[in-house]
Amino acid sequence: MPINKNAGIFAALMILSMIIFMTTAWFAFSKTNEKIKESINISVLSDIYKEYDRFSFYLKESSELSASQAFYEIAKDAGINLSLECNTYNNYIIWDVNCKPDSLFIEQKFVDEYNKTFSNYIRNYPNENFIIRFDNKLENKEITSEASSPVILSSEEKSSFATYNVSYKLSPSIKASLESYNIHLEDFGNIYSSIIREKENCRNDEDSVSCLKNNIVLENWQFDARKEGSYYLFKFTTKKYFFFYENEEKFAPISVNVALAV
Amino acid sequence: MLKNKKAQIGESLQDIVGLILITLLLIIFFVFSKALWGFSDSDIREKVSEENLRNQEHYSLYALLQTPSNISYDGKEHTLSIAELIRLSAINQNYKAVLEQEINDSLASIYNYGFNDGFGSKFFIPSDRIINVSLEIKGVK
Repeated sequence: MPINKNAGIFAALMILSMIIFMTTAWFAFSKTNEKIKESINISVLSDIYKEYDRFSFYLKESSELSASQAFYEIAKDAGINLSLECNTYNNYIIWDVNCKPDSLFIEQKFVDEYNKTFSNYIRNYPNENFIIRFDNKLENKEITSEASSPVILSSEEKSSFATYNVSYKLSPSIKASLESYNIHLEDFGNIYSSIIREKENCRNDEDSVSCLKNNIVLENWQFDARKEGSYYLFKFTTKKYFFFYENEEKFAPISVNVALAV
Repeated sequence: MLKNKKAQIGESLQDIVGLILITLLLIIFFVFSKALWGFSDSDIREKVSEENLRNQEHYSLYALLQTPSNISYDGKEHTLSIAELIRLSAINQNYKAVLEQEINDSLASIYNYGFNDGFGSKFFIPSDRIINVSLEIKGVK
């Protein structure tokens, strides 16, 4: 049987052409498809980042407000554990050796009050994906709030080619020093030791109140003192203003009222 | 013999025409598919640039809310962030004008803003109620 040379060449060229065509088509399609996929992913991720950014801001604000509120709650009771049954004089808590600020109690109360306000704020966040439990702890004058479980945000993008699902797992947290919130829990103890010391120093002074006013120096507080009956009455107020609730939302200095036996 | 030669030429011509046709078909398919994907591509580019615009808005708002401003309150000078000023204006209505002034001074020529659920990026500020603040670039809807 004679071999048709041209037919052989034609067949070979056809096969070669098909290979070139298939390769080019596959390459072009995969490249274009890759480009589409990337673009859609970026757009979906951007929404997730924005949502998380919003929440981060909310978290930061909630942390500061909760810290202010906790500080106010401690100051309202003059840093005292009220279960100790301390005495009062005209609504001033009387500080004495049995009823004085205790740093461990203050720190614990701070965390408890912070927890209460912080979880309220988180509960009010408009996106329910972020309504999760946070673990709050105070260490080395730094408050840390960490999500106890991750937040999973997912988004679906439909295109004419395919549906893309993007899930993002986030663990929101915030860490801030109390100093950055202008909160100094150690001040309660410092105020107590300072007024006890100066009361002794001013004992023999004719104008003991002026002596106390001149000698008690506090970095973060200003105060007024007067003598009433057998007590010195002190009203300490923070130099900085805070946002806190006292029947209504306020922007004001936080006060500590204490009495000390003459 | 002569007939055979003619037949050979005819056959070769047929092959050549066939090859040209196939090549042309390949080119047509390639150009057609390129044009088809090309249109989708430009749609996506538009979408991404719109997204970028919204991101820009979003981060500008974030920066704005943290911008410090000096205000006088209770006879004292205070440095408050715009977010705190928003909270203060919710407590004391007199500070709404101060807030508007502060925002106008920095961003009024670029942005519309509002304390509501508008179009554009928005933030929530915790308070006794949540204050929504949204910001949008002027003229972009």
